[in-house]
Amino acid sequence: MFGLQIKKGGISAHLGWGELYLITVTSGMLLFGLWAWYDGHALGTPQAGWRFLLLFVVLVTPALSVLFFWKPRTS
Amino acid sequence: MDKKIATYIFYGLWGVVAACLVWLFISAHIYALLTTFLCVAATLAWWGAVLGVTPRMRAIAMGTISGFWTVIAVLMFFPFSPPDAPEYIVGEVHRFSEMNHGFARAMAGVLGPKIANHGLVYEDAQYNYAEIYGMKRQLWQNSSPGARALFGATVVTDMLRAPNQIANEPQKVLPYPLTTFEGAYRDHKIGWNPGDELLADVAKKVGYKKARYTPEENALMVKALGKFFGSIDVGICRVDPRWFFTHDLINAGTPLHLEEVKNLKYGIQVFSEQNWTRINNDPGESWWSITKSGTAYSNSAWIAVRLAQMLRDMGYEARVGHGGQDYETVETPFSVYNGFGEFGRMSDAVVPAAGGARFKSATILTNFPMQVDAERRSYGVTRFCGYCDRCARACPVNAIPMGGRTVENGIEMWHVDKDRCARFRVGNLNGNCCNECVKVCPYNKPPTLFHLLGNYVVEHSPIAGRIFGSVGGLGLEDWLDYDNGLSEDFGVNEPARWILEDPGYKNTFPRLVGQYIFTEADRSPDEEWATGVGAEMGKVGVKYQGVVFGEIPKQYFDANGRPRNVHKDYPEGEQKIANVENLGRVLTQEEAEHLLKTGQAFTGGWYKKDEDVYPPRSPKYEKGRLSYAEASKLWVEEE
Repeated sequence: MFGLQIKKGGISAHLGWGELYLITVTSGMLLFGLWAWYDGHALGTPQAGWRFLLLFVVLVTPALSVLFFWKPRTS
Repeated sequence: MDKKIATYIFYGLWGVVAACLVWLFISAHIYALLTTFLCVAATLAWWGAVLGVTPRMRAIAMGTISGFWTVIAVLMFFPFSPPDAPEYIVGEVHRFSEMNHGFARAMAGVLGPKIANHGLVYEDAQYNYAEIYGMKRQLWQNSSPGARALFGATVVTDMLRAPNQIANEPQKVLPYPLTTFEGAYRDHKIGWNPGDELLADVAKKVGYKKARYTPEENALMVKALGKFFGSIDVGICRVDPRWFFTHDLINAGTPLHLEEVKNLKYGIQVFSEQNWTRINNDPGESWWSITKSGTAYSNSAWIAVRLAQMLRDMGYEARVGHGGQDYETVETPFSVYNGFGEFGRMSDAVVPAAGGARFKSATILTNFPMQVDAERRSYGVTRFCGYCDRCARACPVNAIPMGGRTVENGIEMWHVDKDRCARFRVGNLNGNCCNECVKVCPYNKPPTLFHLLGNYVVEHSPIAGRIFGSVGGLGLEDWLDYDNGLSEDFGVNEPARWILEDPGYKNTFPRLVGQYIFTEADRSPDEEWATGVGAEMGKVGVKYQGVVFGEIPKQYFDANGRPRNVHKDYPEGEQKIANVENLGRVLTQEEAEHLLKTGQAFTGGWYKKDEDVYPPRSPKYEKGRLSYAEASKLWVEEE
């Protein structure tokens, strides 16, 4: 099955394709928000920059909830 | 925690999500959207952390969320076909009289004596520039040193617009130093330069170095030269003769006969922009406001007079129309029919490539044969404006319509109430212009890669208009608030106030101003409003979907609730306006008819009956429905 296996020292992680997809989407949206933040400041409209970044942070919160809180119990 | 309680909380959270969705669909409010996402996130977190999930549930949730955003990304960024270029002409179109645009009506006394003499309210020791500079009347354009410098520059360029007069314009003709003055009137044409060399980038495009003067090559050269001279971009289109004014403003009503301009087949439009930082930071109702348009007008004027003189010196006819009032044509259709822009909600053309609504243009009318720009395409502007009414909400005097497009003079677009707009801009007691609609327009941002992407998305995406628009709610653009610049609270508008006419004022018609007769059909529908009736003064003081339009302090009103002429910078209190006389001379109906029928006076206006227009309308171009393509083709063929 497609996925990403990391084993280095004491660190061990396995990311399935679904997790990778969601992390990519979430990261992309946050990067887009950062771009908007930079652009807002470059244009001399810092409030718009901050709000654009906040917008993307809010939009990804459902994804973050799933990534961080939806940990299936082993039992 | 007790599992039962945890489950009840879980259901409660879903209930909150449902309530948020209802709020969102009812209000279309950006806060409802943001709250919905936060509530969904909280509900999911509770579900996962407290109630527990299975691996399959986790996989489904991740797939659903990823899939949702993937679909949204496709809907936003996939290059869907833009809408068809809007067809604005739906009926019979009459030529427009320059005496009938908003500023002309204000200056000519159609809107009332107080506004026609607006400069009187500024007459005190410090502000009486009319007296200092020996002007008979003060104009709003010259109310500050910056404004005088900028609009003063266009007075000089006016003399360079053309070597001959049409409808008595330009008023003075100034030979252009260093050039061959006879230009278009000599018996042979000269080329770009002695070697007929093309500009190198043009040569690369056409594949040869020495000019052959084909229409395609001419167009490429004119575009390259226009940009070289300072224009943001250059548009070229055929002229539709209905764009020529019927009567000239500067000369108070001189008719412009189509016969005099039949050689002018092509329009070259150059663009300059009103500075983003100034638009973004300085309130539209400040004393700086008129300098924004003054800068752009004088910049585009300077580009155009130089380019036109070059064409004239080569042996072609070329006449320039530039701002503020030195045009022979309506300017906005050039921006639409050269394919650079579309008509937006504020009636003006919005040109995404030239700062959206921030641009000002000047136009060269010429017989230099050029290939016109490619067929119009849509940028999605008109479609987007159907979803966005930020300018209409920002307008301090309700001059910009909400709702859909309407038909006036056979043209389906949004039509502003020009009398309200002009009266406020000319008689604003807090400054000398407005600019509020331009300031809030989403298209006005500078062309950074981020906002170019925004323009692309709005052009192609079927859902972007709904997301960024704000009709009926508080949209994303409202919340982002790009018009809040670095100046923050220093850039906040003063309450909207303007010079009012006396209570009960009614204008008297027919009225002769210069050679032009304003008739009963020219009466402003806003006369009652102009006297202070409807004391809420536009939307000022009104709270609309979370946007507050400011409150007017009580000291600005008299006992009857009418605004007093309290100038914010004037320390003496209220400024008294003298009992001024209106401009022009009131005629009897018989006198007016005699003057019109004997050719001693003229009148126009697209809304008048054919028999009430002097000189008469063109049966060829102003009868029946004629598309732009049909009219401009007939004009090119006109011998």
